[in-house]
Amino acid sequence: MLPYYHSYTNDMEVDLAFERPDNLELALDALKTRAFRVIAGGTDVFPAVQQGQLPSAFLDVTRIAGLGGITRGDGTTRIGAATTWTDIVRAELPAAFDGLKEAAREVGSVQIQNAGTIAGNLCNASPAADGVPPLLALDARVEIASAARGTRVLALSQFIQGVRKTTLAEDELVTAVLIPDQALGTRSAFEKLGSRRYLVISICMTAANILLDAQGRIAQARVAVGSCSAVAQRLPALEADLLGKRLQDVTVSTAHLSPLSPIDDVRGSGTYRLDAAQEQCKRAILRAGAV
Amino acid sequence: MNVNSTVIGKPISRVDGRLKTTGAARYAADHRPVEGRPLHAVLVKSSIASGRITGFDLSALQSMSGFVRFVSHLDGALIRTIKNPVDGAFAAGEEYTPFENDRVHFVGQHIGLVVAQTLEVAEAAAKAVVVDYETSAARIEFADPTAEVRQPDLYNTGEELQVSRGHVEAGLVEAVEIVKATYTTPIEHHNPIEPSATLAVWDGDHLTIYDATQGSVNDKNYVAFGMSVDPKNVRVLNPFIGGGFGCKGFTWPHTLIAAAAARAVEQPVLLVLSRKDMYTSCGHRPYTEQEVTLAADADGVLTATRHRTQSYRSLVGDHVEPCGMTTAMLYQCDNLEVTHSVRVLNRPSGTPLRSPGEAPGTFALESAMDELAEKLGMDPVDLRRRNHTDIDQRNGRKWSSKHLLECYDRGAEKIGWGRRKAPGQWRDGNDLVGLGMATACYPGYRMPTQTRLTLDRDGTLHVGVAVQDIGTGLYTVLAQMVAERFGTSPENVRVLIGDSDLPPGPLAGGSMTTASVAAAVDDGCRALSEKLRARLVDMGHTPGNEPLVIDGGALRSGPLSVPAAEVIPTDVHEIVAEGGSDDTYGFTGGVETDKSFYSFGAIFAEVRIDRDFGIIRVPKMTGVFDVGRVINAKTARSQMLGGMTFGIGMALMEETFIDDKTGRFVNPSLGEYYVPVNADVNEFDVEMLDIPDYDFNPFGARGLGEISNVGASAAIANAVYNATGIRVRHLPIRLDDLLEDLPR
Repeated sequence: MLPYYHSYTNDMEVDLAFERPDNLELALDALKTRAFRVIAGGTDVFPAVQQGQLPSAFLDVTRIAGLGGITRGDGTTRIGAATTWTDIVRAELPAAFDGLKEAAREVGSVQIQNAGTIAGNLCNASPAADGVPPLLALDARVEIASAARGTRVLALSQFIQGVRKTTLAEDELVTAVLIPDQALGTRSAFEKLGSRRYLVISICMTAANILLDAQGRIAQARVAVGSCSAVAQRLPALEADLLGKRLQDVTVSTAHLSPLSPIDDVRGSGTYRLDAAQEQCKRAILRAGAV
Repeated sequence: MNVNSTVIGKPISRVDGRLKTTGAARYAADHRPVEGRPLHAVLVKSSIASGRITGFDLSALQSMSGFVRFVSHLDGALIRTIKNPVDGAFAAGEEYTPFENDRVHFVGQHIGLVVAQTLEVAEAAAKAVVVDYETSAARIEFADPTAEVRQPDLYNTGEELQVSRGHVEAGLVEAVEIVKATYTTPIEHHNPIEPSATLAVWDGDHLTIYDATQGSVNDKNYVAFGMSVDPKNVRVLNPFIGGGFGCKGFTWPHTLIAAAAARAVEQPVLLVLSRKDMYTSCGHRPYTEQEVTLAADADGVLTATRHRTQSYRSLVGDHVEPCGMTTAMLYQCDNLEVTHSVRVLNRPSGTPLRSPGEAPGTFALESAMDELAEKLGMDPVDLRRRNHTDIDQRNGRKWSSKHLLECYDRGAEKIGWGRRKAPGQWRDGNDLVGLGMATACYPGYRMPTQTRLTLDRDGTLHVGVAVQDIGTGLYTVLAQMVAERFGTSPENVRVLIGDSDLPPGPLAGGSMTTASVAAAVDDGCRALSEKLRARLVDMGHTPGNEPLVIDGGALRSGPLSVPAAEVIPTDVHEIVAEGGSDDTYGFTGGVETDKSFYSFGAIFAEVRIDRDFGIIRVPKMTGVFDVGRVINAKTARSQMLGGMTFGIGMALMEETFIDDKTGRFVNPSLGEYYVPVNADVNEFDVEMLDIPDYDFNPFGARGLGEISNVGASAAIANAVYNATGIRVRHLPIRLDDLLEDLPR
């Protein structure tokens, strides 16, 4: 089901463009010419179209050569922008990516995971995007390309700027998510809390990447929490306190959670979210650290 | 009745299963007129909660290629004024005439309809309609002090809503323990997977409607009245319905609007409601606030009961959520007061939603019973046994058949009630574990039903009745009933339902279809049997007294065996007999009887609560039900599984939020209105006692379905209390209700 069928408005003389380039240069050239709604799996765009938010031009990136799939090299793991969540679940990846895989299994339903892409999840910039915390915990970077300025790479935490807001310019396209090799030795875990077992918007979620040294002390720690602030947040104070600790000595304090600012909503109060985040951090760290 | 039947009670798979699983079953919106394509229609709904429409700006529509017509109150009397829709031969969801005038009573009211060549153009045009309003003060908030408060006398069944007996105050004085607490239940929506849809096709002054309705006969009569045509000229077809749960029970304005629009444009019109439309177009369960007082002596015997329900109604719909009706009936108590009041608000209309009254009412009553047991230091099951009665407390009549004590015993045994510990004391790893239970009950209803039984020359039996299978398994149940009466297998029976031209039957509501058709099928089979015997005698045969068996293409009676093709004269293709019953049970004007008819049950739930997050899981639920004879063990069990799943949703997830400022529902989609997913449902243990109630009908079935979510939410809430020591008196129970006070 392709979203543009819905807008069968030829009779109504609505100017609707739908571009589906097969290489990056064509895509970037197209983006120079007009404002496009970039679309991959369409799992966020399509419901919005049903609500009547019909853009006048779509750019489908799923046919662009080299935009899907996971490759290694140059000190990074490169996850192509159009890689689906199912691709990630099925890929053979080091234990550092276990948390990302666990999150991939919680993005919507299996059908959504088959269509939805990693870059789509980031560009949609929902506070409850399940993909963001594990990528923050992997210290992910976002690779962005434009015809005018070539390629730039920036940290994921800089890429997402707010609710539904990113730094992406109108002529830019996300081409890949890059994971530095520094993360490779770590182990990871992802925790999600919702008011039902599956197919649920997260009330709170946490990802942790942990590396233990030979003595069983934490040598590397990255922890990120989602759905508890406009943009998912790393917890630097917690990460710093974890270094040198054994797993059995791990404690998470409310001070560690200071980057979070959860709101009250119908799914749970802000107080509850903070409580839950505290416990989730602990569980994620312990599970990630456990061999 | 052959109690050793090879057909009745057997877990026979749905006879329509293949059609449904292969997509061959056609639902309302799947149908097309015999000739041509239908025009597509999209509703224009009010965006204000109160006021009047001062005009429509349609300028953007005129240039849209494919736009056909905009219909509204400005078109004059498209629909005949309906004054008392519930008094006549039909029941409507709302007591007003669509498009009658410029008044707006709630957000989402249908104020116009766009008809276009394609759905896409219709959608675009509906969005392009600019409505000018003059708004007036709206009463939206439940507690609005200026809202009119009414105390309605009767529920739509004719049951009294204000009940008083004995002296509650005196009963309170006698008591050693009193529980007085207020319980609330949220707005809930039905959310059937198939949205409501109507295809209206006129041929002169004859109208055919393919409608997603739970009642084709009611639909026919309502539309005929509104369109000012003879009901004989209206035919409603609803062979398959994708769930209803009450929102397709009474006929709602959209059906009438589609019929009126089709007449106005002189072409067939197809109107399919969107999911969002469904939230304001065909009812919901209103929010309830229930104050329950239970008083008991030292032995746990109830000395006083009071159940005061406050709810609301819209300005144009008279639904009352009858929460206290169960309370007036269930436990032995001489001093009782049950009241219901409704506030009149600028909100969309309520309507019955699976177990109206019983489901929210038993959440309050059965939670209060649990609280009382706790205060008395008594086992909750024992407390219910102490107050058990063989007399219907409303009218002093004996029950036709009541085996509730067995339900308690079996349920307690199956869930392992003996494992239950004091509140907050049962821990398993990081989990708190608890057990809870509640009584379930549901009235036995029966409505007049007629049937047509036919034998054709192949020896195939046909049964026809204007009832409908809303997913419950009625096709299969009817085949089984007829097969049973003629000693054959259900494959030899063709079932015709879902067509208002068939002999009339009731709408699918109140879990009453099986009991209603049972009496009619029995009589129809008797009539056909008599006709066939007379025919055999005419042919010179002497059939014995043995029951007439029709199997393998032949009629047999004792040693006699005659091929159907010989029995049926060559100048006709079939022999037809009609039969039925005009009896009503459970509603006003019912049969005079010294018995009361009710189904009973006991629901037990085990919950596990993560101590750190307050996540509530339901690893096991046990339901034991006394619902009379079960006709099909498989479809009956499916009904019970569905109802208990509803119970989990009601207890832990389901809630529609309304914005008190604008009167809009905030989460009108399945993405934001949570119902349980498969992963939330674990072990369900369902048992039906299967004790026939032949006082109710010749098949002994009392009907079932709704009873399985009655008490289910209370059982879960009581289990949550048992696990944590925290009493939550509102639904749904949220994760953050528990966290602060959880025993760590």
